[in-house]
Amino acid sequence: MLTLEISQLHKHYGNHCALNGTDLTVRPGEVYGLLGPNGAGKTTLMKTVVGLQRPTSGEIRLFGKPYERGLLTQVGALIEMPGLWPHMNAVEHLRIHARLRGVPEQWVERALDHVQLHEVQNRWVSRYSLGMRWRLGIAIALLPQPQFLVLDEPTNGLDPVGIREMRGLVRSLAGSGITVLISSHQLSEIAQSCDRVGVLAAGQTHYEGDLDGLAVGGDLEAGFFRILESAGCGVR
Amino acid sequence: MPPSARAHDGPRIPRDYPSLWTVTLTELARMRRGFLPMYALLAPIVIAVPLYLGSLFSPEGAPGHTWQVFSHVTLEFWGVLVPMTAGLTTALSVRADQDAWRLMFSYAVPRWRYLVGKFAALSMLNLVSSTVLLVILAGGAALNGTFKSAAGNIFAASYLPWAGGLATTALALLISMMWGLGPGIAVGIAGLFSGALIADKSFWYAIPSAWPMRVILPVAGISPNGIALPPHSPLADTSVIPLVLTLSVSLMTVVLVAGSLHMNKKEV
Repeated sequence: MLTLEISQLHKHYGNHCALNGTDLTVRPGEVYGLLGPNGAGKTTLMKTVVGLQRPTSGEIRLFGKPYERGLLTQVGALIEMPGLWPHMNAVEHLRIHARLRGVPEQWVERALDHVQLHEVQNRWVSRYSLGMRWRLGIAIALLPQPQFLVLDEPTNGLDPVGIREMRGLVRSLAGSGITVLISSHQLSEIAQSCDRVGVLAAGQTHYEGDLDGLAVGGDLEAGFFRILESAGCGVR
Repeated sequence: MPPSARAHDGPRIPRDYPSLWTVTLTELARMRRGFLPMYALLAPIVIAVPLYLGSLFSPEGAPGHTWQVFSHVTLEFWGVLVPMTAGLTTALSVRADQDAWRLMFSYAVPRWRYLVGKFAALSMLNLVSSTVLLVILAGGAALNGTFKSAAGNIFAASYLPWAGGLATTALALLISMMWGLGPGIAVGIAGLFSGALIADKSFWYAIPSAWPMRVILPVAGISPNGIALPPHSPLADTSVIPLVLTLSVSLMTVVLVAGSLHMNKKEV
């Protein structure tokens, strides 16, 4: 049973076509990297998977079942920047989301453990670094102990230390059996974190498979740009 | 039936299915700090205390009419402040949550509960503000030895505008949810003017933000400019009170239902 199966997904905003027949499959327990240039449709795809956007047409199956909002109880998501309240601390954030998601308050501690935010757990979020904000966002997404975690460009804006921490976190989540769908436009990040990748360009999937299949002569970047060129996306 | 949290962690709790009360409590928790609680607590104080001091020394208030002058002017201001507060606090509260919607809307939580929960929390906050006003008015009446005779009017003048403003709060909430901060605040500003300019007109019932002021007029016995009503003024007719309350609750219900439908379709 696949964790996520997307077939011929379309999403139109007026005349603009953000997703144009996207296909995707994410297997249980893997870290799946969604690659693509800016505007490829990665965020739209992820928003559609977690119910923030409605598809124009196409099919989404979650955990082997036709998509319905009730299945989102098993999903954690962090789309774009974490939406946090500046005058609240990490524990207060987690308690609010725990109440909304119907998880016991004891799980707040577990989520904090995952992202190692104990030292600053009582500090207002307005005084957090970007990396801390991302970690808190992931802690919120992990609160219900989801089977499937969706992360949209979680290394955006992070310094090298933050990027390495994020990579370690993603790998540790995968080690604990959580399926992760992660988007990025940084090839090196995806190469170090993911088991399989999909390349999205102009709203269509142009490659799906393992990293070796994407690389050309061992060069991942060359393979990526070759796919973009074949997709008609000009490479400057 | 939504799935539940694991049994060994305590009682089974339905996943992503918080009660409306739980959602309201989470809203109140978010409103605990920052501008909104300060505004709720301080707005009545900032308005009423200087007006009381002014009424002590005013030519009209000095010869034993301090309470009348104080209550008339304070309630005149309150009548325009209630709809403005509804627009302002609602718009700011919605703005504070807009980024968090990317998290909250990815849950299976029925989205109408976010809307109604926020409405309930904002209404409670406004109720706190009304209670602060009540305390100040009661204090002013007590200082002037008129508390006993004025107690009923003080209670009515503090809480009836709140009830009359429920529809404006719901409207401002829906507009803020749909179009954001600016239009939400515009509802408040429109309320500020409509309270002063429309509450004594024959078509007051068509403008929801004039309802809080309209309900104050017969209770306080004033016109929208704060001057005491002449004897036998039609504005003193208290039969308007149940009409205002019925209109307000009815429109509030309609707007919240429409807002819930909007929330179900909303994309972020």
